[in-house]
Amino acid sequence: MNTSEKVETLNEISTRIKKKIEPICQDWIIKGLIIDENQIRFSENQIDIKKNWKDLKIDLFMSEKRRTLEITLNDLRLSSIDDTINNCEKLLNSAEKNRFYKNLPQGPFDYTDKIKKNIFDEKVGKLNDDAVKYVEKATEACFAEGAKRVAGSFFFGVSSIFLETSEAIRGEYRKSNLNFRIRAFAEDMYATGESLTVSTHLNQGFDPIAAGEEAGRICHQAIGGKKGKPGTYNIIIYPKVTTEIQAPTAALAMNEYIRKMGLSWLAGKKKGDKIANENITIWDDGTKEYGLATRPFDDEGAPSKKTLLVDEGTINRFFTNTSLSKRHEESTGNAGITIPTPTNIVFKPGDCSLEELIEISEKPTLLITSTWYTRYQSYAPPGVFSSLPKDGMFLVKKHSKVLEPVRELRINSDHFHMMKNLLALGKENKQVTTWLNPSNSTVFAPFMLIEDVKMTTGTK
Amino acid sequence: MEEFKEIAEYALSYAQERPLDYAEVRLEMNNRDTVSFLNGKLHIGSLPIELTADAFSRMFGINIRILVDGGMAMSSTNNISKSSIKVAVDNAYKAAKRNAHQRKKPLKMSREKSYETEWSSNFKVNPMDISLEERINFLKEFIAIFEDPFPIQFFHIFVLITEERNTYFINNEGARISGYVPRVAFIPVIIGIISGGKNEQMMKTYASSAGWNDLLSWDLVKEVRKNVATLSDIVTKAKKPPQEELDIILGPEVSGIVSHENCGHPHEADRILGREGAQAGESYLREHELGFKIGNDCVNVYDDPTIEGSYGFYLFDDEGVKSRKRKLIKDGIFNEMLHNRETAAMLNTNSNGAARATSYQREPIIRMANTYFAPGDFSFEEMIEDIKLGIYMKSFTEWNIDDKRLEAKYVGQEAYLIENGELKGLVSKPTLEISSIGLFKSIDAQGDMNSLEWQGAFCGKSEPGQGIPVWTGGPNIRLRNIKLAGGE
Repeated sequence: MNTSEKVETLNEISTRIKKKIEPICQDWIIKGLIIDENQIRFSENQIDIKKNWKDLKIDLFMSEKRRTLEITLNDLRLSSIDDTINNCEKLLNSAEKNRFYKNLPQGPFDYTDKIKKNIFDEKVGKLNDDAVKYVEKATEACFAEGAKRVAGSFFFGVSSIFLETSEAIRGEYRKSNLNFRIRAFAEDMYATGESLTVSTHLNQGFDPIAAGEEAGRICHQAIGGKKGKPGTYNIIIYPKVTTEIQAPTAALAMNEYIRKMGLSWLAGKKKGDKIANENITIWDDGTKEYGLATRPFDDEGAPSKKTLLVDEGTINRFFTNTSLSKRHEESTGNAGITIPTPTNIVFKPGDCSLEELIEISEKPTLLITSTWYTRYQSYAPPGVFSSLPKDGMFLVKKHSKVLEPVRELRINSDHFHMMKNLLALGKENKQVTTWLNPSNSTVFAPFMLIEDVKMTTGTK
Repeated sequence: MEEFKEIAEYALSYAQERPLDYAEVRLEMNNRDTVSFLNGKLHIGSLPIELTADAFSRMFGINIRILVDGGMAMSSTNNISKSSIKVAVDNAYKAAKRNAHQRKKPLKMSREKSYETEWSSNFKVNPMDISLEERINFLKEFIAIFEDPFPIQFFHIFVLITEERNTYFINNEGARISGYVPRVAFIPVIIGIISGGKNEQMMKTYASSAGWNDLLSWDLVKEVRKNVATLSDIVTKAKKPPQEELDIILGPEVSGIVSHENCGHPHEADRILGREGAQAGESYLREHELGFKIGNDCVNVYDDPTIEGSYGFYLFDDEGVKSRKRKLIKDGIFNEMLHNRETAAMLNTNSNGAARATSYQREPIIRMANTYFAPGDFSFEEMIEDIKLGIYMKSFTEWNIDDKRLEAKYVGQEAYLIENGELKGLVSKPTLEISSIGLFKSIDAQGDMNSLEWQGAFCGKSEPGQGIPVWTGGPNIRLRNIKLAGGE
């Protein structure tokens, strides 16, 4: 089935669904997706598996008398669709009013072509064997820096998105994605390094060889690491560490729905409240060039925006959909219909190079290249968590360029502390995502220097 | 499902028109309904944090995995027309052949017996047949708990997930296996906050594959009411734990998560062999052979998919291998890994049926099912009687572990001081920060069958992520001579 046949199939299904739901609900959204996604997984310097997903999918929202229902349909057998829609009518009748739902946005909207152009590269859909070459070249680059083993994952694919709502909004766009992650291992299995490169376009910041080199370099530097001493340190974090320990404040805690539920460490906070050091300015930017989460419109058809969330340490706005926006405010373009979702979380860079961040740190300092397994004691204020440095971690020797590899230290902190103690930022943002991270979003972040972070280690 | 089995046969037959080492086809249907109450208000939709995406979902599709000349590839699609399936097979075959050129060590599948059979979990009432009204009424009973007076404020979420998984697995070795499991899970998430901000967050998962009635039989309203009262006491009464060296008894909820994180994960052969190196990580056991002494002689940790009613129940895995109990740590020894057919072939052994996938979109990978400390013969009274200073950590809140599964942290939630053999008052967030070896070598007693309990969980692994249903469990276990970490 070629693309135009898939579009035709999806249109037929959408029309069938529309006919069935229009009589039973007042507001509705049909979002159709055509997905052609690939992954190459590799480990021990070899390709383990290539995967391909070809799916058609419908996300459906219905509301009748403010009773709401969301459903995801991957089962597109006609009999199953009919059964599901019939069941939806019963569910809507049985449901209760959704106190957070008001209405869908009223169009028409003019979705800019510029955004569409900046998120689709047709070359990505035709990568085929070249995709394997990226893996091979990155692996070679990693070896050249001293790695002995390499593992990683390369996602690449294209998708088409179609949206139609009961408010006569119609929109469509195509998207491509490239997400390459590589991890290097030394003979000493505890010496590892990881790097990644992420973009929508092959020629816009996508560089697997550089990622391979960085992973190999970190891994090589980490050889012979010793158990670190617990205590309080300044930490300098790589951009991808922000997805674990800085970006969640924007991506999770500044979600208006989560705040209202009391599951945010910013519950009780409002516009104008100071929550961070004045170094910190953060946007949610659904319009960002080449951002993996960029889109011309959100899941209810509202145009994407660049929204200032934190302005020099002060709350400017929580991100919302139409229903959760205040009367005098427009949606920030972050639907999820019931629950808003972040797009690209963008930090305002500072003016320091990594070397300068190392230089200005006056206290014992750790350089942390990656963390994982961030877990919370509670989402309530102040958002107490711990996170485990995973790959190379280095004690910075004062006034020298020597980095001493250390291991087995754990970050123990809370998000207020992390935001208030951010001393300085690097001068360049990098687009990052990581595996199962709590911010669950694409992040554009620089290196960051954070003061007085408690590090602990095992007692036995 | 019956009328589509022909499609699976067509896919396999079409794949076999060319020379290949191995081919399998999995036709799969997954339906899921999630109903929740957020602070007393009904919510039918996706949930935030890590609770659940795609709250109401209907999935049906096909997964084709092909091994050619030692190279592996997988295609999946929900378009089950013959033309689409041809494309999927062609893509997988071509990619597998390309991968074979790149591999120095060809992949193989271990030789296993092929079965033609059907299996299902035992259940009386399918949770998917329960009406929305009944599910709403079930949840409303928990909201009423908060009408009682408490000295603290609560935020609360109650989630009810009902789902079914229907699979038809076939391969080119003659396997033809139909499987069906309905599952139900009830997840309360409660945050208790006192004015001034001190707070505590509790999350539990009660889960079963034995049907709706099994869930109802657990008297969960009473259980949650008790937990809410305890949470209130923790926030208002718990004192700082001692900093001296002491003994710790881990309750079943904590021993369960320890069995899963410190034993189950590092015993997965794909981690040991490096395949999860860039995702869920490797294992400290990579440096050790079977027979390595991990812990004291009394330590036995098992994983068993065949436990009736368990959340991780299955009789055949997603590579058609018959499931069985796995003795991961036996008498303190590294006794057995969890294998699929790929890792078993690499180590010249047989699969022990640990290959699982969450949907037609996912490859089967090595997973736990129901992991637990085997009970010993100590009553709680016997375990506590000679403890001069200790902690009874009955439940936990924050936890994590490094990607080699060596350095773990567990922060106690409901935890009591033990002095001179007696249980005293609540202590606040005692924190165990310890290596796996240090932990297993500190255990000197495991509680008897009476203290064995299970908890449901969704175990995350791989990329794209696969949250697989499991049970974790165990009796009380006692650790000697532990120094608590500073913690919060």
